[in-house]
Amino acid sequence: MNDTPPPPLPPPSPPSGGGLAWPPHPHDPGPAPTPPVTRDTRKRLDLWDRVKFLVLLGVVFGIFVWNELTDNPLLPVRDAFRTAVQDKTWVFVLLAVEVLRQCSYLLAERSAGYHRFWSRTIFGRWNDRVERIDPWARFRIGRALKWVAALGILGAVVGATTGDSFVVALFRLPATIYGVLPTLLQFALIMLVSVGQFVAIFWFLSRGGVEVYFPDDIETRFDSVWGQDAVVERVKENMVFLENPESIEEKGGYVPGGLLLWGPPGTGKTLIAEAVAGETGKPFVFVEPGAFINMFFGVGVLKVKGLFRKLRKLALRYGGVIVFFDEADSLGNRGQLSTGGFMRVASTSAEPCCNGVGYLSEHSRALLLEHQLRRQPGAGDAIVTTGMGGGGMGTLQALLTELSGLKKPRGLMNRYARRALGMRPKPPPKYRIFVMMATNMPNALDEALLRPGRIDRIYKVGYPTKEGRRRTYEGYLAKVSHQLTPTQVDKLATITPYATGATIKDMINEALVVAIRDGREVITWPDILRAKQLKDLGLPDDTAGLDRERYGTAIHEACHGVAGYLRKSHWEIDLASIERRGDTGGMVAFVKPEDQQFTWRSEYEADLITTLASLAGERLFFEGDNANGVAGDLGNATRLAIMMEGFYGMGASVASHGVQRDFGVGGGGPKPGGEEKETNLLAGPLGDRVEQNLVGLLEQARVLLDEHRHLVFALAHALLQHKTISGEDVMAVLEGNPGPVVNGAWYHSEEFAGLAERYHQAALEAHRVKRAIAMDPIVAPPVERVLPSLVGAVPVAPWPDGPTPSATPPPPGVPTFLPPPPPPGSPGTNISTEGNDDPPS
Amino acid sequence: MGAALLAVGVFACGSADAKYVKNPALGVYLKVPHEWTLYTLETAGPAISSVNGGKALKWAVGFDGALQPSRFHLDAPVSDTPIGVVEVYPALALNLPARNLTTLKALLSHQTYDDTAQTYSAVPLDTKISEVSEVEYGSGYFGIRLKASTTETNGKVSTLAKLALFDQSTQLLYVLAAGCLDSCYEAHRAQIEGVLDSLTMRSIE
Repeated sequence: MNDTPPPPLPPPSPPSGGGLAWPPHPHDPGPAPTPPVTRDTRKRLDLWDRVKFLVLLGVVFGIFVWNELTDNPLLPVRDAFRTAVQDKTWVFVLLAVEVLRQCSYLLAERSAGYHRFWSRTIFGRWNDRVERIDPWARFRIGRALKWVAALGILGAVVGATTGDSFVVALFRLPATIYGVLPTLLQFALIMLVSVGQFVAIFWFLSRGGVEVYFPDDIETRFDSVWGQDAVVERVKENMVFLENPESIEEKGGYVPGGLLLWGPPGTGKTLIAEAVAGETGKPFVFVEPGAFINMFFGVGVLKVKGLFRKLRKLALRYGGVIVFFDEADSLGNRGQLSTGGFMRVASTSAEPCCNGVGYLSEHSRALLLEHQLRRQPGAGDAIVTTGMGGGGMGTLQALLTELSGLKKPRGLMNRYARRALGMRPKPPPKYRIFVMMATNMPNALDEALLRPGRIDRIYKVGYPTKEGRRRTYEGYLAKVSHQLTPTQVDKLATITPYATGATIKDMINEALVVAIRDGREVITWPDILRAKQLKDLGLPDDTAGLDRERYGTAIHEACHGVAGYLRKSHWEIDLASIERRGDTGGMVAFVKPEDQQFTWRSEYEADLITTLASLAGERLFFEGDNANGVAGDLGNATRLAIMMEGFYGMGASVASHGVQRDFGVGGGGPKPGGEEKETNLLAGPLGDRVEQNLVGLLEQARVLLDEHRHLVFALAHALLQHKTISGEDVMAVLEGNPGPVVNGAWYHSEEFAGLAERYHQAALEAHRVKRAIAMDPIVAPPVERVLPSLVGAVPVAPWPDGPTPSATPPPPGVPTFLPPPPPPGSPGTNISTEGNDDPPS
Repeated sequence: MGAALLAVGVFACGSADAKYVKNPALGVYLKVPHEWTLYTLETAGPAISSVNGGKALKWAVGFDGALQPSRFHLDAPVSDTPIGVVEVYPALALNLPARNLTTLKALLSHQTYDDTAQTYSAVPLDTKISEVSEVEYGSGYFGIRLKASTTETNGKVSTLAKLALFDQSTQLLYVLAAGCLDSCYEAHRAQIEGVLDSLTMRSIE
């Protein structure tokens, strides 16, 4: 029987290969704890560790011998060796000490008692005694010993140089230094000039781009910011905390360190910052976007350090300071997974959703996020960025450190003099620096920049609401002479849904230019409309074209307008035009009267009917013929129908076809940037259903237009006469009212009906034989009441209280996405339907 | 490792075979017997200045071969133990009539220069010159080496081996002399003349 105890198990080795291991289960007790391994003897040294200092000292001695030999041609090697031994005794002293040390180690490696004696009795007790000393006192004793050692070495070196004892040399050192002081000063001066050049260059380069405004320097107030009331209120709240930090700090909180304003250009981010500067009682530091774009490496870092040095001074002097980084995306990022950063704080999903994916489990959310990233165009490039922006070269890192880095003691005296005297440096004071940033590219910001503690608040400065736009229009109109009524201003706010403060200001200015061009100083409603058309559409091409082609375009756009008027009754018509602008032959634009987030199936269906009305109308009015100008409409209708059927659950299918693409199965809807998948879609069952639905809706459009043939003629001839007319005039034509420019009532007269039918027959004949229309264009009589309304600012159109058209249900048997459409007044849609067509050939 | 250390220790034990005198700044290297004692200007003062009262002496080292060395041995006109000195002068400070071999020979043989006649005097009667030779060292050093025996007033004869050199540009004068009483010289000829033989010159940067 073997009584030998089993050898102890080796300690568990860490997982190899660098692979990830599953974390231990919370209920898994894991391996039993291994008792600490204790040794009786010292661990054996490797041969190199044993001899390395001996070798080093041997090499040093060899160098001394070599020096002797080269210094004296008479000296033989043996005498050089002996001379070196005599002159450099300290080498042999060290050598002997090292030999003794290694001998001691050898003994300790073999004798447990010897090892115990040194490790526990001698050094152990010494350690115990040292440990009893206060760490700070220990540090100071150590520092004093270091000073003594340094002085000793200095004295020895100087003594060896001068031939004196090291004590004498030490005492003579001040006199020696005094003697060489001129040389030292000369050297210092040379160094100063040499280094000073670079310091001066970098100092000058690190200037600029930063401006400081003191209270009352800026007159902009929060009242000057229109249409962003919610954001302004939140910003004000931060200002209150900065002005009165005790209000939150006494309750255990802290003053927010920074806020980010992001949103589309022109929405007033910089204006809000300017208002903050005007309202606050603290200095306001404005950092220009190009401040950190530098030619030389390190200048940006110097600028950041200089900026925050200035901020700290201002914060101490005035009790706080606000710094504003305009276009903060210029700071760049360091290259990172774009899964973090701004996506952490704001949803950037392009698809409408109710509440993100917050109701899902963590795993489900991660899965969906991964698929979402894969769907991004060029996802491989988009996920990992390589650092961008002009910041770069350590500037961003320096900024991050300054924003929330180590709280270092400040001041030379504090840091060095106090420490030299054995005192702890005083901690830094609480600098109240409030950081504001503004950008319209929030995704370009570094994730670390947006973390709480640096940027605590992130506010979106989006497009103003209708009320905000109305307020903004009123604000800018108050600065000029105008004759707009409150109703017209309200209408203006309605028909400019994405107007920002900048675009509103520009449009009012354009209207003033129009008025001045006409010899007036007062802006009227038509001036506003002309300015809006100019800003929205630009200048039309100066081409007349064929009269029969113009008539075809007018019919095309009139069909859009009439169908939209009848089926999109909750939308407002912005304008209609048959003027060519590049590839665009004409257009009818609708705007939503109210902010709406989601779009319903019935609204999509109305959009499709309005879109397909061009094809239905051309075939209806031109004996089944149609131009290729409907290509754009058909493409839009097909895309929308596919989205409804395959993605939005608005058809026979429930499963989302878009998911297929995530798994690489094929199909699954249009791919961003390419249309090759549409062929597959249209060739399958989905395509069949889409085609069926579009055919049905096309028939609905045809019936609708056939029933309202007179409205199509009315609008078409109004467009032929005026080329571009405002939404109010379109409504006037369709409803038989006098409009601002167009006499809509006349278009509902018997006289016009006869003329219109005759003109249509002439146009049809011209279309058949491809010749000019053998009839003069119909010209409506002018509106007599229009002029007084313009100068007297009397609203002439019954907008918005005019009659609303009744919806026409589809004929029985026509396939549709939905039961008959809801009555007027149902929720609107988000998508503006425009007849953005190719010119008819 | 132990054997290596032992060998190093044995090799390092003992003193050097000679004492080495050098001044790299002036390019002078020589060795003297290990038993001899060296004196510098700081330790021996003007005792080791042999030319022109030590005026403008640039560097000097004296050596004494006595068993009981003393700096005063260097002052004595005659010595029964070998003594010597190596000196370097700036030639300009010596006011030499010329900087050539004749001047060096006259300098070593105690001749004087007559400015009016522009000639050197004869060698003094109490001095006997022998073994005169011209020497050249690398780097352009040139000079005279001779042995001079001088009969002192007390009738004793001392013998000195002397060597004087100019550097290439004749800016510096190097003088090396060693000797003692005639009998002593004969007894220590190898050591004394070995000192002169060991003189090595290197060019000055």
